Amino acid sequence: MLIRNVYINGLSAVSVQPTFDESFLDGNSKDPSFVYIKGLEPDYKQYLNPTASRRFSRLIKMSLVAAQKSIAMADGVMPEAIITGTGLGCLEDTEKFLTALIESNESMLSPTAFIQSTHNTISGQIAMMINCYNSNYTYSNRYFSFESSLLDGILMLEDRSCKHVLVNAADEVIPSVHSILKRMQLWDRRECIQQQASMPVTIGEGAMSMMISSEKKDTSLAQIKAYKLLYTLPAESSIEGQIKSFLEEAALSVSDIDVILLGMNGDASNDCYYTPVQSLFTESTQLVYKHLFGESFTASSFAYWLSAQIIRTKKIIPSCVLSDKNRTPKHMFVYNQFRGKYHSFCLLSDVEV
Amino acid sequence: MNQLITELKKEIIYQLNLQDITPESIKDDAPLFGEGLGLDSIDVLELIVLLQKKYGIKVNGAEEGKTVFFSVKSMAEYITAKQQQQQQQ
Repeated sequence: MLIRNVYINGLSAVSVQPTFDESFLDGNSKDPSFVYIKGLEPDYKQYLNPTASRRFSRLIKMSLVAAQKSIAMADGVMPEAIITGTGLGCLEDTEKFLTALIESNESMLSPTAFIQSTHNTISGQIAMMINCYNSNYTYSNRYFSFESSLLDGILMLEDRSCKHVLVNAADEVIPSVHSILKRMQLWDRRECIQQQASMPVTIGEGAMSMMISSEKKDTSLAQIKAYKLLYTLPAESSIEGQIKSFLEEAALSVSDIDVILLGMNGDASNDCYYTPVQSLFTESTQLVYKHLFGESFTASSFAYWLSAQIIRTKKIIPSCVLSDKNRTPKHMFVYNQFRGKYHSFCLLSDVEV
Repeated sequence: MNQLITELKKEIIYQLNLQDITPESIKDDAPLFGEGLGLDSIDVLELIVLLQKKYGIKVNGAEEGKTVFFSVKSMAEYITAKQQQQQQQ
């Protein structure tokens, strides 16, 4: 889908890397080689009312501070919709609620854990924090959770039903779910990303918030020029062909892309799908991020944070580089998929271009 | 009664996850809602569950709830009265 006017005017992330204070962009990164990676949380007392936040789990707090900063960056505009993508929702509260349900034999349950465990809690709490009476809702579409939220936000801006939409992503890890995911060998394969030995990927978490607007500002970080989601590749088509036609629609060719950001996660059965894409963009700088941010249903949201920041600062983060072609990042192609499904293409460009 | 009041204060702080508040900083007869601790309607539900779970006491209706949950002291008085009633039965 070719997009006319969608600008990223506000952006913030609380992740396993120092993204909230943005020192990650200056090369400050955290070693993610431990059991599973927990978000680097800011001092919430500086941002949230303690009376209101006492009920919130870590994920809700992470999401609220990310949203608060993103809105502030966009000059405090009131979003006309708040859309959140989450794969598993507020797990900490879900576990609390279900444990209490079993322990108390389905009676006398604490209402707080139930209220906070519902998937729309994050969007709802953001709306309450900023007194926003517009729509707020949530997508839980596995690896398309954030992507669906972003698609919805873009469509709202494009059909001119809104001018500003706050799009969020949030997922957290708790020990019990980590052990289940590990048994399933879903995200914690700790195999090596091709071309760079010693880049294990484990399960990550965090919250990302992005204010997208149809209004271009001097402070806009980047522009989303094209966006496409494909659950599976159509028969008789190749990923290379799909990417070429996606770029052609935006009047660009493969050689116009300065930087690509790939969602490789260290799992050989997943990363083999990126090989043809790497071969396609031989002239572009190639970056990865999941070895630093971890994998989750909404890990791809950090690719959007990273891309917009790279376009804004024109700086490539050395720890993300697979191959560097020394090109100034004006056009970035973000590609994510999971084991041959859930393909997402996004073309982000410099606002000046 | 004083022992029950102290116990209730600790339970309220723990159950409602009140930040930077100690049992000593809660006055026995200060209102729990509005000006006092600033509790809200979700906290009422938590306190109802607390009374039922820890003391085996059910609050009958919203009107009774207003009186019972006015302060820590009123909660303690209600619990004591209900426990005495139960013993007599």
